Amino acid sequence: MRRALFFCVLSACVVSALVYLREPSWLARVESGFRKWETTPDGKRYRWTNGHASFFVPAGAASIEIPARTTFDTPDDPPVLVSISIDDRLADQFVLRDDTWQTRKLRMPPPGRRSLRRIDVRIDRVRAGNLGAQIGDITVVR
Amino acid sequence: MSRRTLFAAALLGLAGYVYVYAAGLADPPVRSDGYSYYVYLPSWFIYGDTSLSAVARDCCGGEFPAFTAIIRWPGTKRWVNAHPIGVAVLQAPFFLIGHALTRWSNLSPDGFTLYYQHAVGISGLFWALAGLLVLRALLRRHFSEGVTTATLVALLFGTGLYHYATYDSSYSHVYSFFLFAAFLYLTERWWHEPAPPPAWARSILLGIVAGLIVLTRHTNVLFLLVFPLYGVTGPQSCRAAGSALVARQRELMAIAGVSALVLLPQLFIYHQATGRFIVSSYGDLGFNFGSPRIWDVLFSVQKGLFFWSPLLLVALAGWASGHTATRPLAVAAGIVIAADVYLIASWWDWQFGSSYGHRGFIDTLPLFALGQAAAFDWAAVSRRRMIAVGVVVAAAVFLSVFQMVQYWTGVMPMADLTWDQYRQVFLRLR
Repeated sequence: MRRALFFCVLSACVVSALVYLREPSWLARVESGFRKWETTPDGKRYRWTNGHASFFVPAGAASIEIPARTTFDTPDDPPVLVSISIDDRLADQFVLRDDTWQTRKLRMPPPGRRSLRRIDVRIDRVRAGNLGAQIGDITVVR
Repeated sequence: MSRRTLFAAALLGLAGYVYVYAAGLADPPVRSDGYSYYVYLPSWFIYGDTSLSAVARDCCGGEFPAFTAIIRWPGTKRWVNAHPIGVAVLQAPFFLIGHALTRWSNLSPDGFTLYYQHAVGISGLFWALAGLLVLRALLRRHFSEGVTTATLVALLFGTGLYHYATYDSSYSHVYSFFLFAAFLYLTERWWHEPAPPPAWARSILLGIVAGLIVLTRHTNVLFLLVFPLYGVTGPQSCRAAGSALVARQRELMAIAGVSALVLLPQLFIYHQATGRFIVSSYGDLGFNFGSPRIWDVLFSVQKGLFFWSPLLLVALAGWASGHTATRPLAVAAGIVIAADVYLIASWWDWQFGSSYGHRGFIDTLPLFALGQAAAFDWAAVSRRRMIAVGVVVAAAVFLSVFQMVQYWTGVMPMADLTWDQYRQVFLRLR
């Protein structure tokens, strides 16, 4: 009897934890693959990504704008391909050929069952120290 | 260590772990050596790739950073990881839970986001506690509940074990700690309780554990000497052990066969990467066997074993006491620890990089535990001895915990510490 009660309580705890972890409030702030914020000499904020970075945006957003660039050690360095996916579906691909900023506007698909969408940024080659691309402040258009 | 004490140790371990990461004292668990021990799991389970190429493409634009010690093999240009797969095998159940939670919460399923990180961190804590549990079973065969509990509590807090179960739990040391404890336990059972022989189940378990020991760190193979040397105390017992092994050769074959099966995947991974089954995975890094830093490894202010864990001097005294529990293992322990000291002292980076105390010796703590328990058992017979040993042990544990907190909070430098630096920060928290 005590064992059955223990398993009932345990099951209830596991189910409650899973329900909570589906979309906890702090999930919107979870991101991966970004370094600390830095500022360019002209005052623009940016963060380096690793080869792969991810973050969340509200599912209700109409579009998002992502400013990106990278640096090149020599003029002969090959261009860098940046791929952006929304919830694992490729949404945009572009090439960074020089160190000028490119701002990419991505239209978001209609909201699904979740209140957040995951955005993944992948870079096909990195600088020494696993530095991918510089990503500026991301604008979410509602 | 009673169940309650073990539960308290688990809670304290969890509290320490949460404190380290909630207070931002350390980067996420998959870092430094922990990265290369773990990287097999995302490669196998997420990308279905045993060559590590896919994970390199996703995490790092195709090239692993230098800190990972994963190198391109000259000739084949394929990835060779300096660290073998054993830790990843033991982390796998936790990884799968982390992966399921990642999918459930829609985090990026790349092997390095939040739940993967803490699955790896908690896995280390779990195996450290499992090691204590096995060690408890071993010690309880010879010592009272009180001596056993005191030994394990002192070992957890008076050495770097707590640190490597919490702050640096993704490193291999607590995995080796568990496996060494299990190997000692099974070795003793195999030799003492084969009634009636053959002890097939025990032999198969010994084979699995022995294989995992080598799979976790190849140099751990030294520890397997404990098995044939068990019970050897002189020439006569050496001959008797040899005869006993010959008489039980079928069981020995089973142990060797199972170990070989456990090692097989690693050999295939090496062959896939290099075209050879046996490789030196560290590339150009290696041993300086002609000029080992033995004094530094044992006593220096940088990483000296007894300087940072003076408690272990009590364990040495326990070994020297000739207790009936330690006698069958005295020669084996002496040889294994001496060989381990020589090996660690010969490694090009004898400090083992940034680390609290000398992390290389966390692995062999189960051997020290027997000596520690013998010393406590000796002290338990009189009140005067108990007070004397108690004061020494309490001071050693306090110093160890205090210095660990200094290390966590950045007061204590992580490597290349000098005597002047040590004196400046001694018993200071700022």
